[in-house]
Amino acid sequence: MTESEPVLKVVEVTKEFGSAVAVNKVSLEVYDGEFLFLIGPSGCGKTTTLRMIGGYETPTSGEIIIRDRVMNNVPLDKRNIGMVFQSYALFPHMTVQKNVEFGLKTRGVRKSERHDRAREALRLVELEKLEDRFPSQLSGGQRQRVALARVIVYEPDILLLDEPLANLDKRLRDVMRVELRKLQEKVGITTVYVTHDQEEALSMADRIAVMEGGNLLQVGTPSEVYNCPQDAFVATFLGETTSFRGDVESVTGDIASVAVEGGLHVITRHNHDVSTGDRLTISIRPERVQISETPPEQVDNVLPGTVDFVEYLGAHALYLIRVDNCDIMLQASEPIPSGKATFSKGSRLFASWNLDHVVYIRE
Amino acid sequence: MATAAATALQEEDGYRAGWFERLAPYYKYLLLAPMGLMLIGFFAWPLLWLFRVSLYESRGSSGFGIGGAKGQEGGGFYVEGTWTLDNYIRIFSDEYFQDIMIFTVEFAILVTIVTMLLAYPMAYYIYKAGPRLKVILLILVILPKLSNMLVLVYGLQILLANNGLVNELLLLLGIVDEPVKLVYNLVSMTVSKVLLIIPYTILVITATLHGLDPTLRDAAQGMGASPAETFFSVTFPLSLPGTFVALLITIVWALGAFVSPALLGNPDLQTLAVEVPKQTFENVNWAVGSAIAFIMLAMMSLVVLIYNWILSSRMPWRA
Repeated sequence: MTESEPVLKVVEVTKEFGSAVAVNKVSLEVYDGEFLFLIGPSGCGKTTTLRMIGGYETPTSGEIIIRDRVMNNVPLDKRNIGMVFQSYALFPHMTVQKNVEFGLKTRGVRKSERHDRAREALRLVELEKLEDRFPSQLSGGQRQRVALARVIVYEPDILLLDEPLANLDKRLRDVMRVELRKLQEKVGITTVYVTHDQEEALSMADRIAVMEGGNLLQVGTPSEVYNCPQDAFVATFLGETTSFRGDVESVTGDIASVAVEGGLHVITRHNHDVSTGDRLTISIRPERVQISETPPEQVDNVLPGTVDFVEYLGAHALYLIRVDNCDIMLQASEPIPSGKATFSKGSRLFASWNLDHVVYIRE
Repeated sequence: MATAAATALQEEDGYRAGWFERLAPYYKYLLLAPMGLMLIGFFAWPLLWLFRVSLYESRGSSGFGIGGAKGQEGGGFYVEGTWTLDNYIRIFSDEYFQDIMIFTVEFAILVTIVTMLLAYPMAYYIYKAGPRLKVILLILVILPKLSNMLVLVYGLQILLANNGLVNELLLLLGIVDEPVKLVYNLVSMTVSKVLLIIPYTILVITATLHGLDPTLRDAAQGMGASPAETFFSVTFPLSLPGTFVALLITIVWALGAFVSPALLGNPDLQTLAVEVPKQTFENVNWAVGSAIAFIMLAMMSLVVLIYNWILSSRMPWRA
């Protein structure tokens, strides 16, 4: 995938609204057929970035390059891009069929071909029987599919999706997530998807780009950004995590011992980029923490503690553990196939984790 | 908790709410009462009474000497105690009234066409204008409505007169050699009627355009539609329901044209609205006057019905 030329290049793009910087020198490459997620909290600049790619906003500086062509000054109707809006923006006065034919009509496709291609696109999203309905007669999920069919029908260079599932209820969102991914693979279209939902991003993306405050923090595969976040914000934004701050006490080979605030010592593997005295943020994911009644053997970090709070979540239980002799609360999650949490409030236990599962970020 | 329990206990003991509490769900209608009574007393009731008058036999003559005291032989504005459709039949069969009716409809259509052709582009320009220009333009549109209607019409009379500003300008520019007759004819009638109606038409269309979802335009252009294509395939069709409301207001208003034909027209260009006071006060024929008024009402109702039919059958997507 990476050896081919990128379909889309975002080069040092900045967007200012008055004195406010919405997007700050963001660079990004998206490859042919790739499903890239732009993720971040609201106001992080992800939607503005998407709108600049689509031609709805003009960058203040930097370049948007699509298939080797600089697009900054190309009006949006001359870019071959398919954008799906959060509100779907279906034309209420046109039937489903006419909505889907719209992009072909503007491209001067002949009527009979238009009709056939629209039918084919509707078949892809499994809506072929509803072509004579008006958008007001469709459910939320059906509208969503029409919005998709309407842009994939003219085979755009890039598909842009702006929080496409945000207006659907949880159950439908989960279904559409799978369908959307399948459809994207089937059509093989290069896609940029904006969301604030980390679950959506982790489950669907080829790569995830995490943004905050107009800056692009990290780009990588879901497992890269989840397991090896290079930034404290990335670590906390994607998934649950317990973070501590500490100073490196000693370094032996590729193992470092970190003295954490509160009198705790944590050992971690490192990439030979830390030395004694460095200040680090240490993160541990709750699901990487093992809990047991007796101290486990051959595990690097073992801490005795007391359960302070149990959150029952059906498939797993989340414990808040007060670590003995220091002022630290640790989160640990336990898969519970039996349906019952092993420990209850006040239980004594040992929390442990492998040193490979410690994430450290230099400050 | 304690109060709820106490209430429950009271009810079990056969507690019954007083009339004041039992009527509580209906108190909201008191809010409607002042306006409701006003409408019933000063609109619905006189209208019904007028309808009754239109079904009396008319005295049939005109001129002076009739309309004496009620109950006197040959007196009154109509023959009391009679029921007849003669007034309506007469209006529809008499060539004099037929001409007036046809002209009223023709004039309404002319005014509506001119108004719509001027209003839509203006409304669209206001819609597209920047925030500051938009406010200025809207004030300009509303301004004529803040002045007295008669001032406006008389002002127009002066402006369009043979030695008025318009003719002087035409002469100055050498477009004409002698003053063109612009006043007391169809030109002055149409100009004044359009000026009286158009602020409402523009405001309704402007409001409609502002009510459209701007992402629809974004979507259309994103799919490759040029700005012109976007207008004709998205903006314009979606503005039609509201534009039809504007058209409805315009045509209903134009059908009731009174001031323009009365002050800027001539005796050959008269409308039904002018004929109502003429029959009622000049001919002292209340029965025929009322019948004309009800024919106008029927015409306007017909326009509203046609409008509803267009909305329901031609624009199914609005459902």
